[in-house]
Amino acid sequence: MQKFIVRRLLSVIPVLFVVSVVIFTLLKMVPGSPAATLLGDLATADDIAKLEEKMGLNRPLVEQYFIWIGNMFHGDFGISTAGGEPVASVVFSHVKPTISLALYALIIASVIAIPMGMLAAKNKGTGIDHGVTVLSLAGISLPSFLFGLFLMLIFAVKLHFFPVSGYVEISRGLWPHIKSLTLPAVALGFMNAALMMRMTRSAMLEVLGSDYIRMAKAKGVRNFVITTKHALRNSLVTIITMIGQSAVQMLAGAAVIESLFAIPGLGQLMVNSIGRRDYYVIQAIVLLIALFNVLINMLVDLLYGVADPRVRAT
Amino acid sequence: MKSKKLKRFLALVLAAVMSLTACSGSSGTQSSTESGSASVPENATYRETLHIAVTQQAPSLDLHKNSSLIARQICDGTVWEKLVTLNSKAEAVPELAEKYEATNDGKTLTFTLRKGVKFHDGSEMTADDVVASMNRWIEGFSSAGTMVGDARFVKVDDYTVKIDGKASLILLPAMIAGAAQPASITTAAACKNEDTNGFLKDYIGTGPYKFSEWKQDQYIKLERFDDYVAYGTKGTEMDGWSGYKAAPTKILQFDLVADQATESAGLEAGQYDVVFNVSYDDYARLESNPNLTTVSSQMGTIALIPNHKQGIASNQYFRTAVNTALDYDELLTASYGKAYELGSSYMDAGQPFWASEAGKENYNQKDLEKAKKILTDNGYKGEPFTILVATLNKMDNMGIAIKSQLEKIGIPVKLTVVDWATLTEYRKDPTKFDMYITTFAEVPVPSLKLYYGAAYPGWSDDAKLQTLFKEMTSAPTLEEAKTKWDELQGYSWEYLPIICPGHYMGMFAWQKNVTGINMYSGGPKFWNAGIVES
Repeated sequence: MQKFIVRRLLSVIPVLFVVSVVIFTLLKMVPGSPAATLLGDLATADDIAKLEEKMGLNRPLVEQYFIWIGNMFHGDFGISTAGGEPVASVVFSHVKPTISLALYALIIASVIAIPMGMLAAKNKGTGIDHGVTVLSLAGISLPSFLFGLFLMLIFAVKLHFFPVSGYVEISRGLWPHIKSLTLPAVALGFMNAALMMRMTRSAMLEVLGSDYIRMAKAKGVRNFVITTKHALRNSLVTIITMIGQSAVQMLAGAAVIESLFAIPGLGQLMVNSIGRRDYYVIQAIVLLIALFNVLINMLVDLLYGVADPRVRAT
Repeated sequence: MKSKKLKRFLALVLAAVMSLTACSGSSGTQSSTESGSASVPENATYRETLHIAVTQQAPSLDLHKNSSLIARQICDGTVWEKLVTLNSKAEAVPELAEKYEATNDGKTLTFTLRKGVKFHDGSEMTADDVVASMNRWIEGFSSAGTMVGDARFVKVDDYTVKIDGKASLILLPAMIAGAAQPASITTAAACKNEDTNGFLKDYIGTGPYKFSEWKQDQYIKLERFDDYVAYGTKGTEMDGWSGYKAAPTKILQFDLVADQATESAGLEAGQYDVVFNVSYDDYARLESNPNLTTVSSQMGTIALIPNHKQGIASNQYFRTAVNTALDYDELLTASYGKAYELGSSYMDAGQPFWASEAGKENYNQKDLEKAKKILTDNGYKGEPFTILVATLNKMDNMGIAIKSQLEKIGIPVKLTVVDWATLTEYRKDPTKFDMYITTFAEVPVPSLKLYYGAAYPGWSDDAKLQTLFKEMTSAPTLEEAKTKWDELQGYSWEYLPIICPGHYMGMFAWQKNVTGINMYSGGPKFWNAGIVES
């Protein structure tokens, strides 16, 4: 187990190296300059050139890359062009809302999807199954921003149950924190719940049709025990994979929901940073997402072993 | 049976949703385009925080080096003050200066400073601070540098500064008062304390609010400066940006809400007190809400800038044909809905002194036949015409409308649609476009119109245009400068350094109970704004 973890952690190094080269090169190919966006429209070409020189953007690309990498080894990720703050503190302050939102949305998605997927599988071909299928299709088809706007209109503007937008840090109280994230988490979670529901249903159907389930039924084991103890446990590998994928997606790609609900998360920071060509911030976020991806996949692999002893044995 | 129950349940849900949605349209009709009153009721108690939703984040609050509109809207006159500011006639009137004088030839300007003005760090403002700030501003703002040349501010005594120019500096006070990169006064020490990119590390001004906190992508917080030394007469209305600033609200919090629909919803729900940049899709709904005040005001000029250096648009006949053909109403509707005003004046409505009708016969002609004839008479052979446009503020819609109109007179148009940062890069390269679309924020004097610079992308390097511009900027009196401006604008509508289809509006809304918002120019200002609690 320890060897496995060390091996997976070491595999992060080449992944991050390749990602760093690719993102650095891509950004340099995109037109636009952080100096121009920082100075604004009234700046002359001369003003922009002077600032670019100050920022080191006129140096050869290879030199710029190694300066960036070298500084990172010393814990210096650069300075954000917006506000002049260190990139590490900017990214760190945006990671917290994203993690809170992703966790909350994952909980909502799992709480909706797993029982409903099980229910649909257990009642295959009935009204319940059709209802779950319709619901999951609606979740997949409905754009998350539209669902988010709908939630905002009903639960914030009309009923005043939740704030329309904005983020409250957990240090200012757990309940205000949860309240500020509820509508975006539901909007984000619903779409993922739809996918998870379908996957749970099909995984459960496969297991429920197997011989050992028929044997258990023949032995007179209660339906509840069959579903939860035997069928669900054996479907868990699929469900865990789905949850892992959803977690990566939520951490990396909640930009639309974050922007809609004014959550200062990684997605929103990424979109804004692309607009202002804030190279160091974009590079740091991409590396962080790559790291998240590797770590979550590692965690998923470890959980396979917990869910299925056969995996542990291999 | 089961399906009947399900249908009944769905019908109930649908009915509930519809009734909730219907409630939103039931409010009465109310609309206002008045500026907020600047007067503050005596002995009133105000709510501690005013929440103002903005859709953009400023790249920096260092206004000497950055022309971001949102940075100005938040800080200009609030955190930072200037030697002079604009009154309602767009004239430069004293703010941190007690008075200023110009010599007869307009070449020397002397500013006498107010005594006892405090900075946010507790120190008193003296000539050393003003000289350091003004010279930093000149170095950072190319238009100011162009106007003053090598001249710089110098200290005469602790409370007097002056600047000696080689040519007339008669337009400099208005530039100080209202330029898009404001001549903010900070301490001499702060001017030296810059970050690695050369921007201010500390935001220390003299205004009624001091900088408190900036959480990226979340909010900027300003806190009342209790030692603020006000000028003007307490209880009187402000004249433009000039007058008594009472700062009745303790905290001004500018919340970043990137999505305009969310911003409007937040206002309706009461989460925000004021919202900036309301989309025209939401504006009509907010206008009909009896609990809200809606205001729109002219914010700047829309500009189609032809490439005068090379390509088909470098031919005068071609630019004239394009200007003759275009229907400006249609173009502006495509991008701005109803949030625009037609008008041939290159200057905006906030500068009545500089308003000019010169050249209006060439404005918004919509004459396709005449345009076709111009092209035929000059041997136009159907060369393609490339328009560079950004997706920002739906400007790409205007590009599509122009394409459709020009194709009616036989001009094949190729649209290059990019994001704003890419446009600012591409427009530097004359091979990449024949015309690009942009906007210019309101300026107090025409000398700040960047497109008259021969080096500005578009490259209007025309001898007559440059001579007229120089004569206007170096005129010894404002009246003579105005005469030259009329002549320059008239010639501009012939030569077409830009094609100016009209002026865009900013749309703002706030709760009915918010008082004291100043709506003179460039959007709301909050020096006297607040919500009376008792």
